[in-house]
Amino acid sequence: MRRREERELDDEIELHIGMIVDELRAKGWSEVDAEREARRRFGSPEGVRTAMEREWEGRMGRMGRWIDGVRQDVAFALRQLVRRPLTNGLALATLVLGVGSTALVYSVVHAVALRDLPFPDDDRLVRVSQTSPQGREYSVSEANFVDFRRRQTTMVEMAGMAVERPILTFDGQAEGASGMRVSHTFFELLGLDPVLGRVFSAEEDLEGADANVVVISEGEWVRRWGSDPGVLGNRLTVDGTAHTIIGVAPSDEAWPGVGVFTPLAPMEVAQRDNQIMESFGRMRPGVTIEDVQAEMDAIAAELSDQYPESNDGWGASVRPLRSYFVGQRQTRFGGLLMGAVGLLLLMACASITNLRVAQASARRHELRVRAALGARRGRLRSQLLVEGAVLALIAAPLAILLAVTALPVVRALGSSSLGRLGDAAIDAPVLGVALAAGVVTLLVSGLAPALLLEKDGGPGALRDRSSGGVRGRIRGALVAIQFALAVAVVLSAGLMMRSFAAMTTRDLGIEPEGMIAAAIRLPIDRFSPPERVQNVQLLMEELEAIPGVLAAGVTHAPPFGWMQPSNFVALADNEPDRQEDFQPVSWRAVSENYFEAAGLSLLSGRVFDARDMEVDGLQTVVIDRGLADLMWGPGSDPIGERLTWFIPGGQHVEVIGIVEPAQDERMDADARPRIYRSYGWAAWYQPGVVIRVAPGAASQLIPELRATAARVLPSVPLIDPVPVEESMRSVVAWPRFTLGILAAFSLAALVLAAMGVFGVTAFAVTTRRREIGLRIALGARPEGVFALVLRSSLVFAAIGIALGLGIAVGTTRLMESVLYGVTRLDPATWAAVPLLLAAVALAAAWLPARRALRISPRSAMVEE
Amino acid sequence: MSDLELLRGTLDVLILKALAADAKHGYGVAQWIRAMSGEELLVEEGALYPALHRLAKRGWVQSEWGVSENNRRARFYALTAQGRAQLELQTRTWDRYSSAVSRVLTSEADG
Repeated sequence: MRRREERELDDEIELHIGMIVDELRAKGWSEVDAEREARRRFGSPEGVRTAMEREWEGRMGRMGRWIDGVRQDVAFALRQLVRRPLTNGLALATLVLGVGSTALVYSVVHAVALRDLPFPDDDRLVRVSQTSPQGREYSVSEANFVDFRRRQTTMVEMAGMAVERPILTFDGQAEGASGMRVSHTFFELLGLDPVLGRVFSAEEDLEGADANVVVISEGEWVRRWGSDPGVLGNRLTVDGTAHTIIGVAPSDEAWPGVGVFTPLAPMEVAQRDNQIMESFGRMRPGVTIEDVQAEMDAIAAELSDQYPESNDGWGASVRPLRSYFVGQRQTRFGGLLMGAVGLLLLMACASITNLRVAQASARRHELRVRAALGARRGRLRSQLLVEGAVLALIAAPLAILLAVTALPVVRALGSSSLGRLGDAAIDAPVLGVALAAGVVTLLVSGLAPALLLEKDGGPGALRDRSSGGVRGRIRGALVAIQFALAVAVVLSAGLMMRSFAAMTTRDLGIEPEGMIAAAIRLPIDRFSPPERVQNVQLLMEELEAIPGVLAAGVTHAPPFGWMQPSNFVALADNEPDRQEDFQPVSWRAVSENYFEAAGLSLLSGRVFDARDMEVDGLQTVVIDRGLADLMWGPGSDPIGERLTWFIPGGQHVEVIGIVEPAQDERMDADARPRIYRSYGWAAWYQPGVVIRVAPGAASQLIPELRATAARVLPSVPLIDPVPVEESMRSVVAWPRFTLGILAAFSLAALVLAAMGVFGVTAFAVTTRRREIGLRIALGARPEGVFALVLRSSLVFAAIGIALGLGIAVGTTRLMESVLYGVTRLDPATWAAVPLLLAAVALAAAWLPARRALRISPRSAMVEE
Repeated sequence: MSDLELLRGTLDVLILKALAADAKHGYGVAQWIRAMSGEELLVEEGALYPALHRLAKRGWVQSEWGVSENNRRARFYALTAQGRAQLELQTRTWDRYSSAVSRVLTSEADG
């Protein structure tokens, strides 16, 4: 349609020119001259066409008109971008930085905290846990799981799992593996249908069934069996007993590395107070999580009445299954990172707006000419928006490129200890977020200059100086916003840094340097409790005999492990009636030389020896200074005093020693009061081993430790020995990772803020040339002029800093839960950050302000 | 003698007048206005064609392709009934306006 109109117009123009030629020829002009003159008189056919465009617009459909307008604007925008390489380059870089980091951080947070669990209808899955009388959340005991499952009606089914470290034997070679005991309902409930074969039957899942069947994971099947379809029916030696492989399950995405599943076969009566497993359920259609919670509360109350010795006052908690896979730490740190990247993106918006407002000043003339030629306001606005869009379109692939390039670096920074960080990828949701970030930036930074220019188009357009003042104030306000945001970003990084320093320099009690941690497994059905104690003692002695090894001990829960067992104690002669009045403690069952191996010094009394190690031997405990202070008062020496240990029936134990507190539960929280029992008391079947070696010798000694263990107890391999210093890194992985990213953001924020001040100062010098020239001509001292210019831009930075501190009072509240050893209002950080930003502002304003001094009064006056 | 710049509204009414007697092509319109104004009014081509279009869009003018006096393909514009009514209306308006302006301009000026 347009094509035909254009052609017809060309015909009309040609005819018109031809007529003029005829007219001139009639007056006696030569053909050549007439042709030239006619074209001169007619003027530019292009001009006619341009003028026609607007008439045509009315005839084209709204859509067509719009598309055509955009087409012209895009071409125009591209020419504009090329014409101003510096400011547009800066805007582009800022946009790439802002959108790229948003994509990067979102991909990380998405992978570790946001994305769906690898189960169908995962939003219908819940985790059921027990709550202590004090309200703390625990796993579930096997007997309670059996009752929960039998009595509940709100869920389609319940399933359970317990983490195991089974020993697999291949060609006589024993090795530690990662496994799980799972209920027969487990795979079906989660929707993990076997790839091959079948899963456990209800009969195989009964206590004492001894079915000797095993399901392997798909990953294990691929790695060890080469995806052999004939794997079913093969024998696999698990914990020294031959098991038959009955199925292959697609469990690797949810539990990477877990290779072997055996039936849960839960104890139905015994150890009701031993919260050792996790339980899940799938809600029935139409049932809400509150319904399930109400039912579980009722069942827990029944159990509390029925089994007061173990369940008195214990409740239940029902939460989305997600909460099991995505810890609170991930959610909190993820939230912090998303918040920080949001601030950075806003800063990028402000920077780009600032640059474009600056450009708009330079382009005022051009835009005014276009307005005079009849370009309507909407058209000018759309042109500016299109310019923003073109910028965004160029920036988008670069931002994605930045994110893709930086992702491996970020993943390496985070190490494998950050859950599913390794799965972070630039995929569709991430691209969507990047796109949204780009669009927001574009709208914010494109609209502001457009609105500003419309003001210019009005009657005040000719009053240059006044609009320069408005623009100066707007740019000043943008600088203030940038500084306010920068304060929030840098402050959060500062607090994180202080917190990280507090975490890594605090006295842990245990000495990670020269310490090796490993695990062993003494399967219940092959070693009786006394045999376990004997073998542990034998193995520890042999390990200590290796030159370079100073001490070796076992603990039923290794430092910083996933297992953090708790119990309750009370003074034996002042025992409360109800469990909720007992003192909660964390506890460890340890062998004789554990304290020496862990580097914990004895403050009073003695540590365990052979008398305590006997199964059912002396009922003795070692406590830490914290518990002694709590129970008997600060500085007390309660050696020989008695405590009630909370187990069914209650048990009186005697305090034989006091050791220094061990901060070995979490890096970002102080450990609870601690009580140690001798390993002989429960003879836990898969204890952790802690070995103290000469400083620096840890890595070299590991092969020898393995060899010794294999020689002494061929069926009990030393599982995963690692220097603790190395594994400690994973304990502070989240804080370290967050700190790294926040530090990078702070740097970016400072650069953006500096750019803003630089720009606004340079702008002030340019627009106030005349005034400055006049002042110099009237004899103002150079320092005075310099100070005047500096002040004019620094005042905005100062306002921004003040504003930012105000905002940060609120935003740092979000950080409270991730900070350790430093409050969110840490005076040192709050003092240092404004000073740092003030220094940046001063430095960035200095150079352009110097230029003011070189203004020659003469040329400044003449120019205007 | 300077070219008078034609205001948009003025150009429209002049075109309507040019087409009142007979259909003309663009060149013819420009030519007629120039001749009738005693060479005082030069029509900008950049304004003429958009104006013709505008008038056609309003339904005051219709166009069809024909053959010009020198045997070339040409688009001829003609007045519609609506256009004729519009011409009368605008002529009256213009008369009132111009006589008002000239009364002001010819009155005794005392600064």
